[in-house]
Amino acid sequence: MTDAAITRDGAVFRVSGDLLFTTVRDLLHEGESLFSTGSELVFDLSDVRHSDSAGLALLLEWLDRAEAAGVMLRFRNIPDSLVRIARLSNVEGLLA
Amino acid sequence: MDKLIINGVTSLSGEVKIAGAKNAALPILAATLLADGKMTVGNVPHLHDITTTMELLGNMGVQLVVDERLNIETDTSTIKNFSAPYELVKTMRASILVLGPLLARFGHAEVSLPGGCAIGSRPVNLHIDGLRAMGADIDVEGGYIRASAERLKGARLVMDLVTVTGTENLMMAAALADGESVIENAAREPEVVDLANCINEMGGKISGAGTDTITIEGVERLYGTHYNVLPDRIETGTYLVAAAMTGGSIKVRDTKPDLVDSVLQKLRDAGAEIECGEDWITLDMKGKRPKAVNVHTAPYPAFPTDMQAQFTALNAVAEGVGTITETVFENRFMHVQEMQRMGADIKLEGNTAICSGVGRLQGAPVMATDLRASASLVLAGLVADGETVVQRIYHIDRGYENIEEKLSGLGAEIRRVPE
Repeated sequence: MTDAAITRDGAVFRVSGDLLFTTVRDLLHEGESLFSTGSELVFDLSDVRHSDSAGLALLLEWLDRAEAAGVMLRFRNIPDSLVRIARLSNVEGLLA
Repeated sequence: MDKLIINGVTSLSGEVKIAGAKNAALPILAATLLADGKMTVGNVPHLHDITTTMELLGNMGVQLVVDERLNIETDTSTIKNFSAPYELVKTMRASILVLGPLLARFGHAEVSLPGGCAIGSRPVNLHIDGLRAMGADIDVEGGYIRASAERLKGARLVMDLVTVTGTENLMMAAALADGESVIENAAREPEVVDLANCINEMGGKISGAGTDTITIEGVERLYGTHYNVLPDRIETGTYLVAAAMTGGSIKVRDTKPDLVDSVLQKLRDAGAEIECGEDWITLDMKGKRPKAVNVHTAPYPAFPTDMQAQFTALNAVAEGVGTITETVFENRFMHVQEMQRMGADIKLEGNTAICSGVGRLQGAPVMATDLRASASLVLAGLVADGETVVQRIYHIDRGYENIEEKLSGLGAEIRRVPE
């Protein structure tokens, strides 16, 4: 079974589950709804189990929408697998 | 632009994993255009040209997903245009590999001529002439090859020059043509065989790949499958030479020893003890300095021109005098001048480099001029006293995945810094 969720953990939002082609669409909107909760947000990805390039697209889309909303968005504990996909896609620097 | 800084002296030891071959991955990614249904390609190297190919396919509307093992999944059901624009082709000449598959599967293709390639130049003409012989209507105008066809028809295709990408393009086109095609004077490289194997796993009927006559029985449809790209034989050889030059002992993993027979023989001649398994090779120099070897490049399965520069570096520090004769390309000794600046005793006589080994080189700033020359300068830096700075390493990055990380893993002192 593949699922994904965002849960609040103090000042940090924990993203968990599988960031796959089949799960990221719902997560995109769920994450975006948090952009109105503050001017700085931290998404912790240490509970992400599996991800594909759709997961990478999700992070980039969140960054784009956060910037448009005037929110400083940072990611913590990006899984190595996702970093490798970012490197292959020449966008590793965007996640730094 | 980055540069590599290498401090010599270290004897390499440890294990290194070999990546998939870029020259196999690029045509196989192009071949995914032939597939009805989703297809995944594994063991794809992390190189810029792979990213460019993904961009090229994505630009056509092909849906691409990369999973966490870096398998690339393609789905052509969403394709909406059949074009390879100049902006992408100019950065990667291999983009022309989409011409055959697009034409064969969709009946249309518009591919920019590769940058720096004059209209009507021989290698591109071989692709175009072959497709015309199969019934395609092709115009070359405004810097673009514009091709259209109903279903291509099988034909006898005689290549008057051996070309790897030409063979691959025509093989892909013929795979979906009506009837039998025969490519004569075909390229025999393992990467051509890998593409044929991939197409056969997709339901194709190709025989004779690896010989100079390839027969393709066209089929009506090809299907998506999973295919792992074969290991990179030149990367394999490069790390083995690096170990041999430093008197080291390494194991290369996830490779295919029979792809590098001619290179292994030269390394044995240089004094290396070599053992092979199904997918690994160990090389042990027992701390000894290599002996100079004589190398004569020729098309596969003979000694590859893409390993010539690395063996020049080996001879530069070997015991005795060795000659390197280049018969495949002209002017492929650009690295010699740079090695001379590092103290190498090399004389050029026509297409032969005569090297008298000097034991150690001296570190120096050097400039890479092409992919394999760049790699040879990195190897030279491993056996140089002091610091070697290799500039213009974008050449290396086109062919070697994470070279500094892999060499560091073997104990080399090497780091990448922005220029």
